[in-house]
Amino acid sequence: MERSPKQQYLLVKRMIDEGHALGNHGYDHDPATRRGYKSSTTSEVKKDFLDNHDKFVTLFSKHKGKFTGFTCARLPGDGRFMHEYVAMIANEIKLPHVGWNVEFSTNGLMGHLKHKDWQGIKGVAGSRDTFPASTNIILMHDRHWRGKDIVLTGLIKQLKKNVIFQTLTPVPSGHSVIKYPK
Amino acid sequence: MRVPEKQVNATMLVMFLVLLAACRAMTQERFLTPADNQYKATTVPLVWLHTGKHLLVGDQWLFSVDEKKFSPLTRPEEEKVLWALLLSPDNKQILWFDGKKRLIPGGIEGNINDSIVIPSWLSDKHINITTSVNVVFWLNEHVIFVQQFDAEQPAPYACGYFRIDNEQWTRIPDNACLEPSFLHLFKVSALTDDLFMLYSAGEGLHALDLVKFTPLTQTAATQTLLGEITLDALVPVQTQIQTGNTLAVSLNFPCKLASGKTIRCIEAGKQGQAIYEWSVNTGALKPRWTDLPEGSVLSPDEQRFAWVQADGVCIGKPGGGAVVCTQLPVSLSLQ
Repeated sequence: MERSPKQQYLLVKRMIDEGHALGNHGYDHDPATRRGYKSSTTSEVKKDFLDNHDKFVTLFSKHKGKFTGFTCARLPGDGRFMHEYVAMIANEIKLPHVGWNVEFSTNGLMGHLKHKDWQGIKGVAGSRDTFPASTNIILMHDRHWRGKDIVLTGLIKQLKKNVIFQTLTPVPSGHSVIKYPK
Repeated sequence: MRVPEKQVNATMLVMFLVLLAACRAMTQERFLTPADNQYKATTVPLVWLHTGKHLLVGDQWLFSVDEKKFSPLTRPEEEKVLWALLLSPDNKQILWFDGKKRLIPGGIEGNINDSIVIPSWLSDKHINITTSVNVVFWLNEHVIFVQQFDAEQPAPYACGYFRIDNEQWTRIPDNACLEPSFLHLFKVSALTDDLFMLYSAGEGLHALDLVKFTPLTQTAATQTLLGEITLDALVPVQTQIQTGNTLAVSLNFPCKLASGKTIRCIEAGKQGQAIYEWSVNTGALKPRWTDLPEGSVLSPDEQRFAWVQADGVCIGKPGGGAVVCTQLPVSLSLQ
């Protein structure tokens, strides 16, 4: 997060106060590639996630607050495809690893989003051609929408006509890998 | 994922006004308006042909630079399909790809051949075919290569190639497929007969892998990784092998170098387009041209740039000088 420590604190505190699930994504987003994971170890990545937790504990204590902890986690990059790392998150960090059901981006950006002009919305590409179910998690990475505000607004408008947006919380306990809610 | 209603309403109002303004502009103007500039600059790709005399514009037109004339490419008739254009290394053939499983070869001069259906090699792995992806590229001017994967499963890749001359598919062993940094391979560019740039995406990151790849002469482990770079956004990238004694690649993207491992592109619009020389032996990146108009592409003789501006395709020399712009055809202005 390219924000000052105070801004980071206020943002995360607001997320907690509004009842959002807070996910641990590790501290330095490394490793991210499959090659990177293969040359790393689960203990190194575990330390990165624990360090990230500790950073927030320290940040909150500086502002006389109490960090309530993460409720889910997600490995950076292609970590979701690395079974031993996902198992480490579930068994050692003791958090469910979060996935998604449907992904949207803009036309032509990524080959796996092959349903172009999704539901007639020009410029939008989806991982499936149908509307998400109301219980699905949708991934729309902010990095993919630069300069495409009109396209994004059109997509959200169409989605809101057909699905109900909910806060991603609480995360069910006992799930090692979730596409919430099960 | 809940967004405050007031914020949404305010945003929607602003967006509605922008849309209204854009619609009004489109009805009054035959060509692009300045309001479309940011969108157009990133969505109308330009590709120089080797001769430096023509540009492919938006996968729809061939632009004669000297004559300042657009000629329409002959596209497959199904207009509802968003066909992607893949230009052969010899610049003579075009492959239209529907993004799913159909290919239509053609010539740059206008002919269109029968459609080719890509085999489903993943089906024998019991993979959900609705999430399977085909990545298609020219291995050379005679061979089209296809790599398949399931976007949601870390199963092995499947791959094979199609020979244009005998119209035969050949599957190669899974362990001979390309191995990009991220599972989601989305583009492959041929730089020479055996050097390729792999573009893959993972969670918003964008990896470029330079590999030596020789699937026609070997049966397994055909890839040798020569270099890798990670960008922090999925921005358009053009690559070109540089001539010289050492292996170097010209990287053209709207990004800036940073002290960390990842190149910064997120605020690309504010950074302008830049062309870097990537020394593959040392891994060093050295700027060649910076602060170029967004989407600029350098001609093969390195004497001029082309880019899309609000009202058309512009051609100018590196370092300044006269710029000549030619208005885009209507079909592109309505994209």
